Amino acid sequence: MTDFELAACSLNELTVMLRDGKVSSREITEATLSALEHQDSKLNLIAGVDPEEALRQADAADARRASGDALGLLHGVPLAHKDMFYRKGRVSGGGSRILGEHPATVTATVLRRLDAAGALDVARLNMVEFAYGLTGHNEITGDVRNPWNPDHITGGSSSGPAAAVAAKCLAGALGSDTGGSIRFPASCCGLVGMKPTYGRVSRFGAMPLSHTLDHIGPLTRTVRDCALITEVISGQDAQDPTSSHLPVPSMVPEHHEVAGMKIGVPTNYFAEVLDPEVQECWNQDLKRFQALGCELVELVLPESFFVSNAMVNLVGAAESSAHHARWLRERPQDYGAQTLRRLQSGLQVSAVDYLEGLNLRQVVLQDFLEQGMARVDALHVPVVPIPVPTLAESDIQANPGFIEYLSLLGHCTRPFDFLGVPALSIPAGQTSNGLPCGMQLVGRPFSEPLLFRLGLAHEEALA
Amino acid sequence: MSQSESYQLLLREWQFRALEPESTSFEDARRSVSAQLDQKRPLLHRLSFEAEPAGFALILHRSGGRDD
Repeated sequence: MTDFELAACSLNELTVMLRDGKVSSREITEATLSALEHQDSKLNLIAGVDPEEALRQADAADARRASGDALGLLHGVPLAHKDMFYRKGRVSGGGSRILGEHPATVTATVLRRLDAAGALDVARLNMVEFAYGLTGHNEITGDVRNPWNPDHITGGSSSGPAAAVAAKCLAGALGSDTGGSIRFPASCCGLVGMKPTYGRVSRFGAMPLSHTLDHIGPLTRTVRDCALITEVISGQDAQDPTSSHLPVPSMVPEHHEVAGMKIGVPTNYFAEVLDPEVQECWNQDLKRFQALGCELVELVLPESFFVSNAMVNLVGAAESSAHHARWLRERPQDYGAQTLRRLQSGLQVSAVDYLEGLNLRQVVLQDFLEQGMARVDALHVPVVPIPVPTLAESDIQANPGFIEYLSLLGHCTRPFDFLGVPALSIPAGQTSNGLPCGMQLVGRPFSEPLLFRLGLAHEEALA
Repeated sequence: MSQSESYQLLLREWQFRALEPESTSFEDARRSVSAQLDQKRPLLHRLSFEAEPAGFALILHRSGGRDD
């Protein structure tokens, strides 16, 4: 097996080969570092990498395996993540000029959980500046390019993770999703991406953007891998008081039987903004679920659902500006133009509007659960409303109208950050430009296992 | 005009305005947020009166764990 073939294996394949002694963690890590270096020259993936430290971790993993110790689910597998998860003593740049000036004093809970499962953390991956943007552009660190076609965007803000996994350098990477930043790049790069239920995964030690909307989850090439990483990082955390006390079920599906399940298809809100090609992908993908024995149920989303995109804009703007208030005063020149304009706009949100937005969250969620989800197991809706654009045609920067433009791009993803419900982005074909087009399965709170089961059945039907 | 047509118009508008970078300002960004909020204002006020005491997290958990 060549280095590139080894780096391209799924998590599932790697863990089996490691267990059976067919490959060492050092060999996989060398292959991964080689693939990352090769693809970085074309795609601009890497924010930081320490090959010596990565190989030291790999050798330690191999030694522990040889000693016969009990091992975690991801023992010896190299992963790399969006450059916003703090590790004590290491810098995380957050795609910015500002954040990476001092080493972190804490380690993010998600990294600690991956460490405990035996995963290696071999690189920090590029991202949108402060995770504030959906296209993937970054005027500070440069734009990450889409492995399917480097003239096109990866989507953001988890641009580096999406490109690295799609380019088959890694089996999986963590991203974050405040308005769609896991699902949007997963869709643009043909990947599986899970935005878990709000509270399912601790945000402690992750760079905050908007603390009531931030979610952390994985991007992978397969549903099983996505489920495995989600399971490892989930669970209550005393250091994040918003994390849920609910026990973590097994996320990896034991079977893919989905016949009889009810898939909700909203007839309002989503279709209003869709490009005809995305609409066609949607129609075709629904037929796949129908062929799997699922029942398609058309439904009308409640009127209250329609405020959720605007509320993400409002709440997100206020919270992100609060997180950045000091730097906005002291270092405005160190921000990229679009990030600066968006953060400055949040300073103008009144406390009344902000609190109204937060209060509305429960009303909108209640309506959604009672009217949108009452008769179905999951919703099936698009992720990105248009075919994946080129870097040039979507480079709006801070030009007038950029907030409306970003709102349109996030039309299909943002509502589920506001609602806090889980959403799994799955590959669902391509548009005529040859770029991937994804769909999302949206569930009731804490129904990630069900979404993974649906996703697995869909993946096997597509294979 | 459909939303899709609005989107195409918007794209053309900012591509045109991109030629005039001096027209960008902090005020533009602020107005964008305010304008979106104003569009939703009537619905927001109706919904505000419907807010019930149960919190967001409570509703999430109350409806969670039904499957698998």
